[in-house]
Amino acid sequence: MFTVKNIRKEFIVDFWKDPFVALEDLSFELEKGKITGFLGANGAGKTTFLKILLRFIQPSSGEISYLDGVSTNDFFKNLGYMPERPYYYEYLTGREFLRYCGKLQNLKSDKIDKAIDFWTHELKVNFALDRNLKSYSKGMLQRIGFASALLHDPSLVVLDEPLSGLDPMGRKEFKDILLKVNQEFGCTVFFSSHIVSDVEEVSENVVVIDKGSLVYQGNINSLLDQSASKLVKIEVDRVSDELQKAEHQIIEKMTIGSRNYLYCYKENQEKLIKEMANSSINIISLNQESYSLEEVVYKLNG
Amino acid sequence: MDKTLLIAKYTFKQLLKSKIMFNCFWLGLALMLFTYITSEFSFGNPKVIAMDFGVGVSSLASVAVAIFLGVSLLSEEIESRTVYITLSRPIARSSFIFGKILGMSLILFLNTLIILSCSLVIFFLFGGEWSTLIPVYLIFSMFEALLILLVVVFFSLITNKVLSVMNTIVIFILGHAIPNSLDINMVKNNPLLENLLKGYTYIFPDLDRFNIKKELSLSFQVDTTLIFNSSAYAISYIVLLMSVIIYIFKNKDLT
Ligand SMILES: Nc1ncnc2c1ncn2[C@@H]1O[C@H](COP(=O)(O)OP(=O)(O)OP(=O)(O)O)[C@@H](O)[C@H]1O
Ligand SMILES: [Mg+2]
Repeated sequence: MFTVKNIRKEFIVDFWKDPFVALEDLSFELEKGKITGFLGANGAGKTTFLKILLRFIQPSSGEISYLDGVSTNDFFKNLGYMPERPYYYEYLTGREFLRYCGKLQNLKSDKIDKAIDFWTHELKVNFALDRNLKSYSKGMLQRIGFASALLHDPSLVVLDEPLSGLDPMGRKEFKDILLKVNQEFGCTVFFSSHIVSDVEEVSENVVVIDKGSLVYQGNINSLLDQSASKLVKIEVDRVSDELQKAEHQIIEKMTIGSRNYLYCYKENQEKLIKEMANSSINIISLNQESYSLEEVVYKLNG
Repeated sequence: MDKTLLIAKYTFKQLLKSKIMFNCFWLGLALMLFTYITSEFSFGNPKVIAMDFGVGVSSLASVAVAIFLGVSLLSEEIESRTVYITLSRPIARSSFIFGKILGMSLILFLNTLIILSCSLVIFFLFGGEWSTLIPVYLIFSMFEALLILLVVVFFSLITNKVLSVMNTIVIFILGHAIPNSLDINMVKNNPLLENLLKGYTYIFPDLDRFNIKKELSLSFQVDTTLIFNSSAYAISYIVLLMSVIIYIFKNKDLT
């Protein structure tokens, strides 16, 4: 879809200080027709990169080229973009705002109205279309923003933290729609996030950046295989010394208030549980911990 | 071009639906009341005072609205990230900024019209008569407000909000004071100072060209060449500032 070559971005923070390097020598390629997650911790440079991709800001050096000989103009015609934490024009209604977006895309009025109808139903904000955006909740704005990015059947959607600010139901709905536009409409999806499990659930590929530099690009499953093995968190009714035999299987013991937690690797889970049964320690709950971004990045950096 | 008009339309719509027009009505009413009281309780010809005071304050009010609108034109778009929504679509940056300014100018025009009408009501109440200078005054107030709008937008592209407002106010005050000061004897007797001040008026906007308050309140005639020259001056200055703004905006990092 596009190729990124040696992008570097400096921000001048203070006139007499060295500039701050937000992105350094970033190169990767976005595969067409797939969902690609864009992972990085807060401040890693995700938003900065997306702004360069969309030409809101100029890179200090390097370039992005659009594949298939697509001209810049065509690229923007077929692009759907949603910025992070959008607010939009407070005094327009949802419908007015979406019409505005549709007209900017050169769509005909009847086509715009159809698309508004379709996507707001999908995103469950159709009930609020005739209210001013001022009265929308955070999640509703996010939904309207997502609808505005999908209105014109783009061939690429770029989303900056689309899942932040949504409740668990909303996160699931958004992920379903991401999969839907990809599978049914053949749309390439590129979205940023700092939550590994969200990216893992929907995307095939992942681009990971840390402090402005690329640390991984490629298939997400091979990334997760090569990084940390999964952790299991077990809540028990008491922690006692009788568990000594299993001591080396426990990574960490933790007591929060009156609750006791043990952490172990998934492969050691069964041995540990047997040991607990022998010591008549009761298990209250058992959860598989998902990967944290820190773990992944830490492992990648060696 | 139709994209420019689209942006203008929605800018206008959004501002119309916000509270700003309401404020302008209140301002107009307050101005009416105040003008009435001032004219009634002061010595001299109430008609002249109504015109002088009312019309003076109304042009000041349009300038204030221009600064208020202009300073938030870009910063609000960036804070609410609406600018990203718009510019990620097939539209040139120049169309966007031009459309924004066009939409705002329309609001500014309505504001100027409403406030000026309010002060005229009092003027007519005291027996003032219609003159062709009144529409000229409206157009001149609009030129002034538009120039100030462009000046504040220009500053907001290169500095922060507070500095933009302050710089614009300075430009506004100097734009009136310096051309006026050229008539003072002290200045006339000091060629260096005179040239310096004249130089200022060649570069920065000379807002005194749009000041026909005295002529208006005393029902004098204004030379048509003066009207023509001032209009030509305003239009050229507006085109120039607009081009500079478009140029800067095209190359600006929108962070
Ligand atoms: N206009 C700017 N001027 C100076 N520094 C900036 C500017 N914009 C971003 N930065 C810096 O660049 C770095 C990357 O910021 P960016 O917003 O891209 O992070 P991010 O990965 O999107 O983080 P988050 O997950 O919090 O959204 C940060 O350290 C930030 O302070
Ligand atoms: Mg970000």
